[in-house]
Amino acid sequence: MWRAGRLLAILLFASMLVFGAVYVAPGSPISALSGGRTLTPEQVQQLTEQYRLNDPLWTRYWDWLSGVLTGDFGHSLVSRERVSTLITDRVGTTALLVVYATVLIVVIGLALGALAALRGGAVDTTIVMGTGAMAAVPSFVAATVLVAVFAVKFGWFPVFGDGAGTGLAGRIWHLTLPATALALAAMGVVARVTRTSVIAQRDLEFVQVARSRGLPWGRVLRRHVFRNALIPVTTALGITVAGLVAGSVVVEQAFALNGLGTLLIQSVTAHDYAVVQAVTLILVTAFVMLNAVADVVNPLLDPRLQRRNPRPQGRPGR
Amino acid sequence: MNLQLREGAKPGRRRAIGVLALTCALALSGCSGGSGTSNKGGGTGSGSELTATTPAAQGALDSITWNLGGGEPSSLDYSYTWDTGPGNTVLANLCDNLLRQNPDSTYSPALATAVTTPDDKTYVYDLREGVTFSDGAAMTAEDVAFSLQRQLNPDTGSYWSVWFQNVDKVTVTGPMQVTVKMKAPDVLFGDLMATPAGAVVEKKYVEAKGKDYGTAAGGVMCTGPYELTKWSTGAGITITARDDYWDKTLQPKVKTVNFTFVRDPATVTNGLLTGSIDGTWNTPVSGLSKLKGSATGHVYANTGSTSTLLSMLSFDGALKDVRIRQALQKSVDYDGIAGGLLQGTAVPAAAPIGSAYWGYAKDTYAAAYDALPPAKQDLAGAQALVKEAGAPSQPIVLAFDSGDAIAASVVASIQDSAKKAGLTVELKPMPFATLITLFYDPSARKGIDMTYSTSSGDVPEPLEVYGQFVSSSPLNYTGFVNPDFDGPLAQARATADPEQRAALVAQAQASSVGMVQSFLPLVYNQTLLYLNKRVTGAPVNSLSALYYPWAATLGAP
Repeated sequence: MWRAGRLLAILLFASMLVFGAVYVAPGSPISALSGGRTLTPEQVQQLTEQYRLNDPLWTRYWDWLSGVLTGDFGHSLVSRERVSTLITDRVGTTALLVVYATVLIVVIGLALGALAALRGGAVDTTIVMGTGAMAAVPSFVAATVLVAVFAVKFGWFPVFGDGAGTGLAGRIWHLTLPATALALAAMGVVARVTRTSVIAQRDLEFVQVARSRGLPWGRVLRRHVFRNALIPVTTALGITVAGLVAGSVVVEQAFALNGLGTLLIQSVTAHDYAVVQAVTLILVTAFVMLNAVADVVNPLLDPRLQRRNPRPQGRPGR
Repeated sequence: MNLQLREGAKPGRRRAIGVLALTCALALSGCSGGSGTSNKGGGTGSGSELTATTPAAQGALDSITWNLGGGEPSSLDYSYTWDTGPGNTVLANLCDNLLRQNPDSTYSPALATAVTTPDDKTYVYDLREGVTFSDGAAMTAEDVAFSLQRQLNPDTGSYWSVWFQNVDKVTVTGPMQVTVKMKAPDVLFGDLMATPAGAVVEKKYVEAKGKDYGTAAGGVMCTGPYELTKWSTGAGITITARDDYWDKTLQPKVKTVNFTFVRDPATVTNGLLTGSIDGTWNTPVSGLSKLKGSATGHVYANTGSTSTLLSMLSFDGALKDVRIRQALQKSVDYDGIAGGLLQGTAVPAAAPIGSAYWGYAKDTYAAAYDALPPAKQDLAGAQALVKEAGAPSQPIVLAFDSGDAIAASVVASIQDSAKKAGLTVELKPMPFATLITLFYDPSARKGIDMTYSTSSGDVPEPLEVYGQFVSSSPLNYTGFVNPDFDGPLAQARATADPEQRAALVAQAQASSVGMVQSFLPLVYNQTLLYLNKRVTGAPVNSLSALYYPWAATLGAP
């Protein structure tokens, strides 16, 4: 309950920031409405009144918030379409991209991390170096390289586009390079966290005890090493996946995907306030929610976190 | 280039359109080929060989993908498609206008078969029989009158309304005849009927759709060779060929054209290289060397209708003295900008507009252009002028779009060469959205002397562009009054004879350039058309990309 209340307070505060921020930004919506033409003072006046640009900020915030709560985000200044329509048309692409990237991060990140930790030696060194490099590559650089190699040189994947209308398989094919570009850095981070965590657990006393009692190594790994190792990994995952929502803006631009990020950038450029506010609010909400999910998942993995006073030195996780 | 500083032209020419209409009637092939041949005022680039045409299309194609480098059109309502960009590029294939402007800068009849001007305040349009809208309904005189009246109506807020300011009323005067009465003689009105200012839409449809007309939800209803079949916002626009188009010479060979809205130059380049995009009118300059060597298609270059220039915003500061403005003009490294920074896709500009706009009296305009101070760096001359006038105490503040990499390099070159001439230029990068405010908000212009911009007109008539900068115009940001500019232009607007009009416009041009009054012209940018090798047929002409049904010329080689 307390957690839900805190969540609501955060969202309400975020909505105020989101609403207010666009009005603090330089430029004015008049420039979007004018499309760069020269306007007479009368025309400027008329547009100002039509879009209520002179009403007090607080009144407009209240109107906007009451609209948002009923699912009405208003109309786009530029395309004159309902903002909710613009968003529902695009949210699927962004969601699929983020989910796809998350799957890549979890599967490949965990696999690389575990492999490095358990194999050691040259494999470990290679993976540590490789993931270090991955973690340092910004997504727009990754996008450029991936396109140059896998789309332009080999022609395995499309250069741009989200494959709308080509079915799920087509969409996944179109989103492979974008998702990889988006996931790459986080993959590196998750792999390294996993490696460190698995190594730490592997060397703990209870693992040695379990082994010395003759339990099969695979079972020890699954039930003792990995389960405990996953706790810091989920925390890292929660943060990185929430970050993917923001990172998708860059990747969508680079691959010309028709998602929320592209919509956000276009709308910011055009000072399309209603759309900017709606998309920002959705991205912020998604970020907050994903963090909340990570908060909820951790205690499930480690019952100690559910207790009010977790003991500093716990028993081995069952 | 991001900023299309669109100058709303003032109407002002009457050509004997009724006669002119016959000269190039319906003969596309016979009429093409002229516009790329001039080498004055923007003809030859140092980098590419110019061509006015691409090999004619022979076969049919099921579909092609075409990229709109300017992004998604904000509207396809003819009243609001005045962005010299994506909206016009699409609309040109959907909607016919009363007249058609051909790739060779001539006009031919379109929905009007003849135009008569019984006196200088009357235009009588005889309309074509048997034209249908894409829903099958026949075009009537009512539809035509409605379309024009809608532009006049202040509630519409038409972006073309500036050309209708001298129109008194539009009436149906026969079963297939519409008459436009003017309040004052206005020679440009006739020409502008070859742009969406003279587009014809279906009255019933527009009235039914109301505010939604021209949006993704409302669609469009016109008589062109293609119809709008799908517009998913953000994703793409699909247009499909009609088989009942009235002009059989422009019966499309490509069944569907899918427009994409990719803006990122690198993504566009890769899309063209891999063939996922078949063509674009906005070939990225940054990807030019790759694209020229590409095995998947060709880059076609021709004289373009876009100029890159510095717009004068204020003469209250460092630019007060005309000698300082002249010195700045002499200091610019035109060849370096055109050949180096723009990789030969531009040519030095001595006047705000070049040969692409010389639709008539070409020799007069060419001779006048040659007499202008040359677009050649003259540092000694610039230094002498600065010495004579005394270097201004404050810097010359030059604004530009911070998101435009080419603009950033060009203004840096200007700053550098001005320094050699003894002038200090202060660069002021601004986000695009803020930069736009300079053009209508005087308070935003405070402390800024000039801005980098690109400019383009709508018809091959220099008067259309210059007429917008007379001292009474809202576009005369500096408030500079020059009777030697205003006088001849006012006279030209009431002069029907092309040669006389050209002489007057040229006189105004010389005075404007001498005073460096509205612009410091830098270069004329070429049209860079890219076509995949499976597509051919389009004219290489930037005005055609906006106002001619170019998609109907495409097909398989």
